[in-house]
Amino acid sequence: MSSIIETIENEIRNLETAVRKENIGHIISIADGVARIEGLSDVMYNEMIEFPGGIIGQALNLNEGEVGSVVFGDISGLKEGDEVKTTGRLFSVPVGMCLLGRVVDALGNPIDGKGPIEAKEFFPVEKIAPGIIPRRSVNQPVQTGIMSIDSMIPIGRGQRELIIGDRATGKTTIAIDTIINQARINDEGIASGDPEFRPLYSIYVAVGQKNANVARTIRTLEQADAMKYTIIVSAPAADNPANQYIAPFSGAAMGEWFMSKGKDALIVYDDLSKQAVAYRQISLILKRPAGREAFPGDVFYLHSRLLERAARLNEENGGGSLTALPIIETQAGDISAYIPTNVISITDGQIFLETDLFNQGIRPAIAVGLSVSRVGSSAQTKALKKVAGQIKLQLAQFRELAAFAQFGSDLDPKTKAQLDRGSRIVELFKQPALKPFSMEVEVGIVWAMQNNFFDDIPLDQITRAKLSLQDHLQGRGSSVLESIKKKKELTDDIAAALRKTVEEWKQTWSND
Amino acid sequence: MLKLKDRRQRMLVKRMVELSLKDGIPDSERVSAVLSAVRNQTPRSHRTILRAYLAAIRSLTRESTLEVVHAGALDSQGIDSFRKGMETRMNRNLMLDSREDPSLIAGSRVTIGDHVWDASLRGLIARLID
Repeated sequence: MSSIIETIENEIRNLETAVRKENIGHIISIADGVARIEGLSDVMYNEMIEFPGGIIGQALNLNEGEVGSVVFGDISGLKEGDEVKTTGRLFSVPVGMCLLGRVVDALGNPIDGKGPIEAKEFFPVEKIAPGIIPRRSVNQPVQTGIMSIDSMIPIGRGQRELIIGDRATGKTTIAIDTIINQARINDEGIASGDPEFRPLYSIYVAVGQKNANVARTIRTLEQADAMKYTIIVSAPAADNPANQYIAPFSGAAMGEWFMSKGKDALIVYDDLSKQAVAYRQISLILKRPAGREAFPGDVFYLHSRLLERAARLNEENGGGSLTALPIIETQAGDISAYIPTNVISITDGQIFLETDLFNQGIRPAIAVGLSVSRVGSSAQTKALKKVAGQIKLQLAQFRELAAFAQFGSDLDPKTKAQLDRGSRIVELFKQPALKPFSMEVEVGIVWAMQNNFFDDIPLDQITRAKLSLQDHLQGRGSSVLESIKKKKELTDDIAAALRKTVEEWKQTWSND
Repeated sequence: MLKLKDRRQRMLVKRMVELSLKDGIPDSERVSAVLSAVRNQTPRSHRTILRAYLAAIRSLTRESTLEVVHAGALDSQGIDSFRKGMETRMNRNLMLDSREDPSLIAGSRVTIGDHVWDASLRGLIARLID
């Protein structure tokens, strides 16, 4: 008996008896996810602060006598007078491979009912973006599987490409297609056993969306078997604005982990307009001065510091990358509004989607004239660069001529030919959702178009012809596709073999 | 703290606060004298000024009060030497507010403004639970 007592006594003696110093404050008021706190004289900007019940906040306003803080999570249990403590830490979220296949909230807590996440590492949500020295230029492609994007507006690993357009124009679809295509490429690459293959992991951050939409996205990714390479961070419309504000930063922290380990990751922010609205709400409650459209003065910095974290690191720093696809929703196609212009100026290009094109059945509804990738063809494989070099110019000329041609009936043969080619390219680039093409198939189809194999096919048959050519390439022309995939360029031998395969297809093709 | 938009009002409150301190600590006699002077002159926005003055004095009092809560009895000499030690540490004069609280179980809890040093058993248990 005495030994038992001695054991307990020893346990008590071994307990930490050092005096613990704390910096505390008291809630003066709390509403709409924002608390005003008296005290906390030692608190630092963006420091994590602890409310009763384990609720976490972040100090955003440091005034002379009080601190303004956002509160993450349920604030219904908090009241005026409650004690608040500083933690001396920055707000961090779990990171690592264990998050793949999981759906988490803005704080990194699992919300998919698949049990706790056993994370060994945590990364701060606010982190200074990599500087100039550790970066290298973007030169590896992110294959979206969408033919019009891969051929005309190529995206590279480490790039920031904005997807912008009105509501219901297919912005999310482009992002989801890209994630699904990465999963397909990852599966093929891992199965091939190629030691140089670098899988691209995806993070989808849903901000201010309806829960039903997020559930549909998850289901789509599950059906495509893409969840195993994907993390979903969800801060739906029902969440408090603080969670909607922090969710993209949490996602960026998760993506940065992959980059820091020399891996490649893709992050989709869907969408940053809603994050800006949540930030505006927080800022107005914190009584920060309002500027244009009532947004606070630092809303540009909100997005620039987030998107600057997307980078491609050089070999000395692991060679990892984080590619960002932010989404912005415009109102009535107005890209000159405050948030769209801000994000356009921050990113390395934009894919602009038009309601009119969408309603005409041209999907993805990409406005070629307004869309650009500032990284350019350096993020394209040599094969695709070779076959798609002129296509953007041809399509832009077509759009210009098509508008002009409406005024007159007599057109010279050259203009007619340009119009004809343009309409065929438009038809060729029509692509249903969730049906991404592989790079080699894209090369085959665009090559066939550029070499006039579609010229005698009626416009309404182009889509059918494209699918037929795809089947033929994947069947009888699989060896050619394999060569393109392996060499990633269109050598004379491969081009000759491709011509032979396409000619074979053309002989079997019937316009009926 | 109550914020005043008018610069002259801010300066007046600042002066009132300066006059209310003795050795850096709000002094009741001086505060009474200041209040009496203000009452006689009745400046514009009298109530607003007094509210700002109250908030400033409240904050200063909190910052210069050494609150020692202890579970068992402590001798006054020990507490006084502790106060002197804390004054040296904080580099300012402090008013002592000492009281016994059995709910701490054992040990003590010291507070100056928003700084808390918790060496109580209750605090230790709370940390263990966390």
